[in-house]
Amino acid sequence: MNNWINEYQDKKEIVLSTRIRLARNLNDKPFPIKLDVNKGREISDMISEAFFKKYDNENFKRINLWEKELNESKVYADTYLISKELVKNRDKSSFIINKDETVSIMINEEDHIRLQCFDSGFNLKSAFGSAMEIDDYLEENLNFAFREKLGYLTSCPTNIGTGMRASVMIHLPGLTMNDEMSRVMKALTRVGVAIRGMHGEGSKAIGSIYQISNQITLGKSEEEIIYNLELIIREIIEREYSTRDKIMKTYEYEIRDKVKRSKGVLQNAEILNYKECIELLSNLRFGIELGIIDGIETNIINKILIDSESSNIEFIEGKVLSNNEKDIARAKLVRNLLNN
Amino acid sequence: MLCNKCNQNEANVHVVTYINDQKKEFDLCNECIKSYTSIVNFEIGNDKFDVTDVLSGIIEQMYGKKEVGISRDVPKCSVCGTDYDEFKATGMLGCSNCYTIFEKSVIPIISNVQSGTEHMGKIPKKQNEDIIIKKKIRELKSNLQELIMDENYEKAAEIRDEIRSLEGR
Repeated sequence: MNNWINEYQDKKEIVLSTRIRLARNLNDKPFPIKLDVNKGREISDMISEAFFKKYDNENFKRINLWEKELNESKVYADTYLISKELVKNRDKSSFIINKDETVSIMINEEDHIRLQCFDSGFNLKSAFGSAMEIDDYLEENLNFAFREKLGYLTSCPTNIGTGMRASVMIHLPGLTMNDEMSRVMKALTRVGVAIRGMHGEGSKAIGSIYQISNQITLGKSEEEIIYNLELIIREIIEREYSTRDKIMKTYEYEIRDKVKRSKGVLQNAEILNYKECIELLSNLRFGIELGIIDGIETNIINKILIDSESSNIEFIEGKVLSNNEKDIARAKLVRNLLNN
Repeated sequence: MLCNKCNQNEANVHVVTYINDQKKEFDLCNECIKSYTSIVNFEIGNDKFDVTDVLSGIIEQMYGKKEVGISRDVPKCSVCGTDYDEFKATGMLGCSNCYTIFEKSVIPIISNVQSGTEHMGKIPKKQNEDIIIKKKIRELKSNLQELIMDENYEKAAEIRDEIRSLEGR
């Protein structure tokens, strides 16, 4: 598996990253919502011990959020390695992560275990394979809550069964510009697929980046869920490409102008707020994907996408900043990354 | 189009539910959707709908006025202490034992938010050998039927023997 922020990607690839997440709970132990601090930390120890019997300390490390400053925990969340929910539970939550940052096992999020495997681009099967390998090992060493009819039991009934959420982050500027997203969203809801903004549940889409995932977890096997999701995403990709062709036929100069102006602003701005930065970045990415812009790799765009999050800006600067200071620091960061 | 529930306001959300594999479709207004939907996460205008709001809405919808009776009849979970009111308010279970205690209330919710009520996916090997064999037999039996339909009797006999040997274990 490749880290989507560090690795070079095919410039035409409009899927930024793939994620497989499995929810697992220990049998006969209260779910995290019902755990006090001590019991929660005990469970974290238990799961970590089971994991580190096989996986070595060289490649993996355990991070207990109760030992970390809130700001540092937020950086992990803004890098998509852990969820905001895990940060909320930080008096009893931890996570295990590998060096490449392609595996992250959250402990005491909504469920005892949320195993996540990431890959760059559109690679549901490879991420699923890695998740299964770790899950197979964990289930040998821990007793998971499981019922014949209901499958893996989870704190929320929306995750029961396979406990699996497969998702991709995808860049859809064509469909967004052409005002087709509400139609796409409606169609997806009917087939049990959810589409959300980049920041997951409840978030609005900015910068034409969307997260698409399976909604249903019970009644279908993991392979079926992935197969269906893959078909649907391929269909969306096809539509995005054909919409791009249509737009370029009619508005070629307008698009070229928009892309180049966006590049100009990103390379020269002194003040950049988050939303503006993400929207301009989407235009620039669009230009790279269409071949209008040469010489900038999409992984640089991914890095800016992550680093320009407020908590990451503060982390990079090493201090708490006012909004205005953040916007100035963000502009400096973007200039440096794009001009070198 | 008018809302199918209140018949007063203009409907602006289309809802599809699957209950025991039966598909039902409704058109609902912003108000009615709040208490009756299987869509887990979406936005209407600036109103965000949280999954727990939606689940507790479904519970209310399922049980309506009868809920007082249920609250009295269902005991607290002995493992985590969750009671019916708490479950109703959040739509969340407190531990694996809650699925047994609140079974009657949980199953309708599950069939409302999922595509079926039977797990078809991975089974943990440890302590579940029987379930794995049962599942394997089910798959083989459905294979057997297909082979017989195709008049592939030679292969069918092999599968039949395999089923017998698994059933004999």
